[in-house]
Amino acid sequence: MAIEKMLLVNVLGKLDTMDTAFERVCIDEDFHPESTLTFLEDSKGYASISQDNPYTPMLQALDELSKSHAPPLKLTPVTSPVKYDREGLGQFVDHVSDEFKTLDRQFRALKEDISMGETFIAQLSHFTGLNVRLDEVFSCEFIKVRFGRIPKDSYPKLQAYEDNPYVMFFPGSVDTTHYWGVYFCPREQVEEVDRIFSHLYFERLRVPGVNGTPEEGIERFKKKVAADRKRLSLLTQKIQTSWEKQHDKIEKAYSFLTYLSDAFDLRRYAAKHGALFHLIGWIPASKQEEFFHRFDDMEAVQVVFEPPDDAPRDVTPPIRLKNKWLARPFEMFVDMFGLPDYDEVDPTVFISITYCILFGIMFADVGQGILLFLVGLYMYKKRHMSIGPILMRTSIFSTLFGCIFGSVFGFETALDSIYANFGLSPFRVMEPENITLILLASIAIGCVLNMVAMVINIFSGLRRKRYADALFGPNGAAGLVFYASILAAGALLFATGINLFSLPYILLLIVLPLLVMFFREPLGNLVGRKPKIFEDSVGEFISGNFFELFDFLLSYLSNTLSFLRVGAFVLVHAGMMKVVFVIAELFDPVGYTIAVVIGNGIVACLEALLVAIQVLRLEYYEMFSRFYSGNGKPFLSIRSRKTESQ
Amino acid sequence: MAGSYSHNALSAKARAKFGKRLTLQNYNELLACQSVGEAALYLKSRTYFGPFLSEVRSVDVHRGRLEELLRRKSFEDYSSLCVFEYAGREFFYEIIVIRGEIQQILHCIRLLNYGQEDEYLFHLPTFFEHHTDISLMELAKCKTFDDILAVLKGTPFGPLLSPYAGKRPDELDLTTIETRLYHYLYDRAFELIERHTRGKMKKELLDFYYMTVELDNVLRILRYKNAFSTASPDEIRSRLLPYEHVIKKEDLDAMLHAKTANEVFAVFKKTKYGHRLSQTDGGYLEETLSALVFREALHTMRFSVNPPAVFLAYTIIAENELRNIINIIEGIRYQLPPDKIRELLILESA
Repeated sequence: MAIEKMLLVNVLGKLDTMDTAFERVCIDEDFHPESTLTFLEDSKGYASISQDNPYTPMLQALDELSKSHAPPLKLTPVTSPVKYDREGLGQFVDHVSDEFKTLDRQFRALKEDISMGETFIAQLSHFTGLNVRLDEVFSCEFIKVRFGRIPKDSYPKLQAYEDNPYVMFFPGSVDTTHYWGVYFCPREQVEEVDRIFSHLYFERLRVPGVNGTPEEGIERFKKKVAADRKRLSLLTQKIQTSWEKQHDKIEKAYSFLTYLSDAFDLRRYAAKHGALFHLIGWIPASKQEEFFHRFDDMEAVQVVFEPPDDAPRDVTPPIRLKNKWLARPFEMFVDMFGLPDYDEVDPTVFISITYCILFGIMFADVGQGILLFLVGLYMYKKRHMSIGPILMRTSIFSTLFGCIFGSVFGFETALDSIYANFGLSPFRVMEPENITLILLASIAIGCVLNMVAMVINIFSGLRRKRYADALFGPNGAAGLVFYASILAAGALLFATGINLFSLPYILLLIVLPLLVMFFREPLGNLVGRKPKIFEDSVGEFISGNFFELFDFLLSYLSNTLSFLRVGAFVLVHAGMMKVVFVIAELFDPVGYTIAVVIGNGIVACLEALLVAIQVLRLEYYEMFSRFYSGNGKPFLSIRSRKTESQ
Repeated sequence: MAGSYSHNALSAKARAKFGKRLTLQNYNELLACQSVGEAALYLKSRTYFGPFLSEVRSVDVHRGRLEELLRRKSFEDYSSLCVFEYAGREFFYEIIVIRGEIQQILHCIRLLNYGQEDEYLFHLPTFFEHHTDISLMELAKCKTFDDILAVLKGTPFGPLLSPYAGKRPDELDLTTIETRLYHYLYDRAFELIERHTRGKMKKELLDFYYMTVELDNVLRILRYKNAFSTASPDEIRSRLLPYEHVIKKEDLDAMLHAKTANEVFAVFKKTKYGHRLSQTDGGYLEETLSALVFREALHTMRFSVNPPAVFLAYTIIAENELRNIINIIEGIRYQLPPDKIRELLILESA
């Protein structure tokens, strides 16, 4: 449960050293910039430094190249001051960009030629069998001939010209949307007839350079398309070879340009005062020494570190979570809810443990658990999906709980022989006497988890000096005493018949905590030595808090009962697999196997999805709501800010 | 019955279609197109209109054909949604078809009035022939108003237009004809709403239709004040749709007696509808009033729980999108600068 400690860092120096200083700042992407002008309490005499980034056009050119060629360019992280031929950088980018632009232009032109050729072939194919030379038809002395197509919608409209001998269309073929054919008219009537057909959306077929019959035209275009395809293939090969040959060099330039561009963009956050610049931001405290030594050779640059407390009151340090590899994938869930405040407890470890356990119980099956592990591994290794490692971890718990429940791909007796060797038998979830036990156990899990969440809230509240919340709130000490007392006495009464609900018990452990919760605001004000004990009038306070208290009591009940879903899903799994087997038994052995395989697949997919969502819901609504605010701002280097905004 | 067509699938389908609408980025990219063909290819390759524009094969597409295809797509969208009405194609489908028929009749009469009756053939939407009892091909052959009446014989529009029998095309009062036809449409819509809905659903639908009608009336007054400043208040009133809902009688009178369009608009601003104008509203008054209905439709689309209201909102939003696209295509065709075209568009951010 850790949030990386941060330090406020001021980088100051002469303006002529600014570019080099900012490049050093950008090393390792471990600097979170703040707007210096808004950060400074007294910014009189300071001015912003804003200029157009000169590296943007070059980067855009390389980005475009990267998008259209494989393998794409990757960024190599900069971990120390870089030596690079800066003078030749612009020239190199121009040269590469021009070379590939020319090749790409040729590529596009060829593709267009091929596409046009194919279109002409398709169009001419509607007129095969005419057995006339098109050039002869077009050179008629007294009539004009138009080949083309007319939409099916327009074709019936030609009926309106039944009386006009010059408006005649002869369809040759038809496709899904058009009639293809020809119309003729005397030369002196051509304007009027063309106007009518144009209004009927007739599209003329214009095939350049066809002198013979349509068949001959098709043959000619086929030859041309084939030749163009050959040229395209050669060109594609040439482009690929050239790209692969220069890839490393371009990638190096791309990384360096990105680095320079990031450094330049830091100007937007910096301010100048006379001939000096000033940049403020955050770095992880563990990097303090290394960051300081980056500027050893720069006498004109000064680096000053300050603790987070020195930041203005409304500025909080950015959050970077720091967890061990086992819990790290679950940072995604914390991030989805909202990162913790700087002084808040990081719930990653909590969620990683509880999520795995709850998922394991609700999706308990040895076979499906192993399958899920493999799916998670594939997602992680091949698709680089961040849900992959989470699935891998949760599936281990699915397998473990599957062992306890004795379920392997829904076969509830598969592990009986192994258990028998130890003189034991698995916990059978569908046995009638076990169903109540499962539901009660899931409520018990809920009670424990709710109380753990309250304990974390008390710890977090005390650490953040929010005493009212930690001691008197519904999720603080008072709430915990109230909730635990009712549960303990209730459980004892239910299990053993011993009744703890005596008057002192009720007064001390139930009524008193309720009163404390009711008066949590004035009590908090008293402890915090605030001048006003009641912020509103007493009447308003009582009426408002009465309903709030009622709401708290309801939330204890609903939050606890919400955990019933844990038990319900245990039963759902066994129930659904039972249905699969009932269906499978309708078939012969081959059909049985296929039905069991498909059924397992469907149940596994459906349940994995449902359980993943339901457990997340329990985490967020039942547990996080008791101790976690999630209002922290993420640690963003200049690079990650740009990536986020894209 | 209140729930006779409140099938939730209608809302879900309408909202799914709404989700595919053009984005601001699409509009910006369309505005950047240099020719109608380029715009057509853009719509074909980058928007949900793609499958309907499969026949657009190159940049030489005819603007009229493109519009026809887009209109056809809209109409087919509406009628496909009508399938989800619980009671079959009972309510919306009827209204959509009546509206389409009125548009065709008016188009035909207008062309007759301008002496361009032969042109109707080119504009008639062939796809609509399957949905209407009016023979559009026969309508295209009409040379006089009496010919039109003969084609409309046996339809509800025949008796509505019979007072104009025997009139020469240039004697036809197009505005009163339009009023009579739309009066019939809205009467029918209100009748169906009364018959099939109740409670909140009824109120929501009535409010929507009345808003359309009343804003249409305001628009008519504005046009009269702009184009025929000598027209008397009673003359204008006779050309308004006779419904009163939100705009009070005295406000309507004040608008009718106003001397200029700006005065009309000033009175309108004080009405309940006027209060809903946003600060950015202004410029073209026609667009301002349409934007009001559009915003109301967007609100209904996002928040209403009544499937019929959601469907109605969808038709308004889809109509608006179609109008925007057609405005862009016409703007490109007549080489208007993109900023000028943009002023004519009603967009979500506006």
